[in-house]
Amino acid sequence: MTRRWQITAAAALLAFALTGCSNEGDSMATPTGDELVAQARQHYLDYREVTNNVQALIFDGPWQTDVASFGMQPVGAGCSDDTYRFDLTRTTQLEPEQQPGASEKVLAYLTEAGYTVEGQELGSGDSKSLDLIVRKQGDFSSLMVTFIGNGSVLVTAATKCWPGDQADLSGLIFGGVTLSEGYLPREESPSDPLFFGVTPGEPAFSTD
Amino acid sequence: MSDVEIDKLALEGAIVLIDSSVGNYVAYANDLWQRDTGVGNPVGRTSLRVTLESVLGEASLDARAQHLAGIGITDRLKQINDSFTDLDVSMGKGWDDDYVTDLA
Amino acid sequence: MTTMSLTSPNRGWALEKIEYDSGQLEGIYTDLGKLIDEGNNAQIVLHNIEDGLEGRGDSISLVKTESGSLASRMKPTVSSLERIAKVIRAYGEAVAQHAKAANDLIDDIEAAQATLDSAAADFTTAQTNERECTADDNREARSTAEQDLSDAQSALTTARNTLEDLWENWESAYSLWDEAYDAAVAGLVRSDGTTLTVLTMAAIDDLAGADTPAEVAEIWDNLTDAQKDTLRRTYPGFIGNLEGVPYLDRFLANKISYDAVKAGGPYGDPLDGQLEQLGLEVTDFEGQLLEFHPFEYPQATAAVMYGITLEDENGNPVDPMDGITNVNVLVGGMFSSLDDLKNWGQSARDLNQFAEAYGDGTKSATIAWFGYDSPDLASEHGMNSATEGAAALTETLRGLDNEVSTNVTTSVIGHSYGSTTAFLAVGGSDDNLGVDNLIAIGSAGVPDNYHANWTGDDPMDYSGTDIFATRAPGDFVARYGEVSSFGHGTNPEDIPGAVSFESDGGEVPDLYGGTEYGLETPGHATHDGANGPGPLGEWWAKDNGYLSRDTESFRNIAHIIATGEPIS
Repeated sequence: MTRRWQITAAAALLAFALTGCSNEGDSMATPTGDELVAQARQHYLDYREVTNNVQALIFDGPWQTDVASFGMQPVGAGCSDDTYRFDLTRTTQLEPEQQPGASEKVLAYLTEAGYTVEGQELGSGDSKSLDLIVRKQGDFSSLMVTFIGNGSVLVTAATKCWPGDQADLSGLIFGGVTLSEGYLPREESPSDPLFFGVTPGEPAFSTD
Repeated sequence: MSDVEIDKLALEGAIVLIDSSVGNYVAYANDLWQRDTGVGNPVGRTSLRVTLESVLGEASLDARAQHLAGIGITDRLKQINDSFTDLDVSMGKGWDDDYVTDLA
Repeated sequence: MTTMSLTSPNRGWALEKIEYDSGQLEGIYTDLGKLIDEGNNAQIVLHNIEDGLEGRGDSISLVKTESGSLASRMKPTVSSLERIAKVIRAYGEAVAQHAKAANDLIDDIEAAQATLDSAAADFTTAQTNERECTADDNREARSTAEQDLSDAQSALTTARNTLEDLWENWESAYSLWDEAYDAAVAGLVRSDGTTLTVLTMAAIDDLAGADTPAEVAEIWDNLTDAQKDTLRRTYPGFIGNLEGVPYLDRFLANKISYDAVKAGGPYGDPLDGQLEQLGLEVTDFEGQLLEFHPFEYPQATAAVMYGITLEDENGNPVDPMDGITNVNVLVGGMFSSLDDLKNWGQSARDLNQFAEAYGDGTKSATIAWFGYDSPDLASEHGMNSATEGAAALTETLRGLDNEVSTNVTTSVIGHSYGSTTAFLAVGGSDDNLGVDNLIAIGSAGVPDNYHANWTGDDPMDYSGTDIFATRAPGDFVARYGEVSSFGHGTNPEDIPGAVSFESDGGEVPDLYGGTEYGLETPGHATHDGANGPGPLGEWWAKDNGYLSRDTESFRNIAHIIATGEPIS
């Protein structure tokens, strides 16, 4: 059976504050160079704080990452020209019995932080899934936590789009390296220190 | 006709020749690339058509780049030609026609 | 009455018309000649200037040098064109002779087959009659029966011989065409004039002449590492796109090709933008180039694969398909081109994540396929683009089938017109191309029972493939496609055995009582589009499409891939 519902934050003012001032610090003209990097770094740290907090409530050990969806690479999908966003996926396993407790903690955290959370239930048995979804609030176009009956848990985040050229930004923070060559970790705990950008020629996660 | 005029004619001639030959060249290349090759996908095979389109496309892009270089050359020739006219007017008769000033 | 397509007795080739257009081929050849003449002309003009332009001074010297340089640059281009022209001429002559000869025999062969069938029937009848003669029948009756039998026997033998001769002629002509086709491919590959060893040239000929991906694989396998390296480096465009060459080698070759093409630019948009995005998909998103045709007309085509690695943790090369349980192919629809790569790349990666989350030990890889000239609104009506696209997709799927073990589950997901193409490819083939799941999303309609130019008189055959389809209500474009088209007017949900799955939210309980309208897949867009800035200055990504992570349609697709069924 499919069900969907909404949980609205009691403090609606907070929600507005999150959306209303979201462009503070970002000039409307397209930033370039150091300014672009500085803004992007701030956006990255801001949104990662939220996703890390969510992850920590579910499991504070290492989650699986995928280089392609690590969430640091500027993404063009869904954004107009000259804007970029971030897109992240983290996965872990959690026994079905523990999932309701975890989802309640996540819901409480998000609600207290001022987000309106939508819920969605699909399927049954091993394929049954519960999604907690934050849509178009704060820095997020979509922040979703998915609990599946077979024990899989995913945190996926698509941030809003910020002014800046995707290719330019990528060049500035990655220097054209191929990220899968040891520049990003294959697993990550929510408590791991955050970093932004890599040093070309010095892959920090290579096992050579 | 003074020798300066003869050189001028030669320059103008060169400009026209380059314009038309390189110009035709790139026009034909562009046209070819856009045509149906006539190869089709016989019994479902696509490799010949795709390869042919690709080599014609590549040649067309090469021709385009070469055409641009050709324009660079004719531009320079035109510059020289224009300076000839200026010189001719300003220097008047008696100009030593063995000597062409550096007009860069 | 429909007839089965006939197959030739010795080589097993399907009796099919060989497509070609002599007029176009001749036209291209003639115009290539004009182009070459102009190119040679231009070189002469430039050399004359280099040698003979009167005057002294830096400016004049510079012009002379530049003219000489330009002439030198043009020379190899014109030489390539000369070689290409030779190839076209040879192929043009071959099709005019051999393809025509083969095609001209088709009607005769079909008629001869019909004659044989009826002669066989007559013979059986005559045999029966003859056996039924008893001692009671008079001599005349028995004699007639025996004569009839003898006549029938003769007729049958004659019919067989006639058909055999026709087949022999047809196979001979077809075989000559086949050789000419392969030689033309090899000739074009070598048209850049690079000098090679005899062995390498022979390898190219062999590879171009191979008839199936399995044959290509075998030839490739027998090459030395050094030869493989030479071929990858020298002919990356050919090797990188050749079905049957192992994917790892193709990825490496296409990367070399990409780097060379990038270095030779800029070319202007849209190609420059597409190349830039392709580069990012490889460096930032772990994409690998499975197909790459940057100069194809009218648009560049490519295929990018996500979810695989080329190296293990220690940096040693691995078979990218090791451990992969599922491969998915995404086929876009109207207007789709490499401009959409970033969106489809995102979907490909999302699909891998959720398929793995739903599955048990699922390891998913997804190909974002832009291998054909997608139609625009004017051409969407007809089947031409789908037919050409289906040919290209069929080759990709055969190559994939050869590359992965039969344990790997292959799913093809076609959106809108992409579903027309995908269904034509799978339904129009003799076998299922190794495709286990065929999923239509927002379909604009799939081929009617048969399409004359593709499968002859055979109906679409989807046996061996499970079909799934969705279409959101309010999905005008999809319904338009169904109504406006000829040749692709079937709703895929109506195909026998097809499973429909939900993409519409419907009514849901409201937290405060009552009901409200739940999430649905609004309209035809596959992806989020852009729509910033809004009134408050936001830059939100646009609303859901079929392949957004939180939509029911997306989750169903991921689930089908992982388990073979929609969510229930």
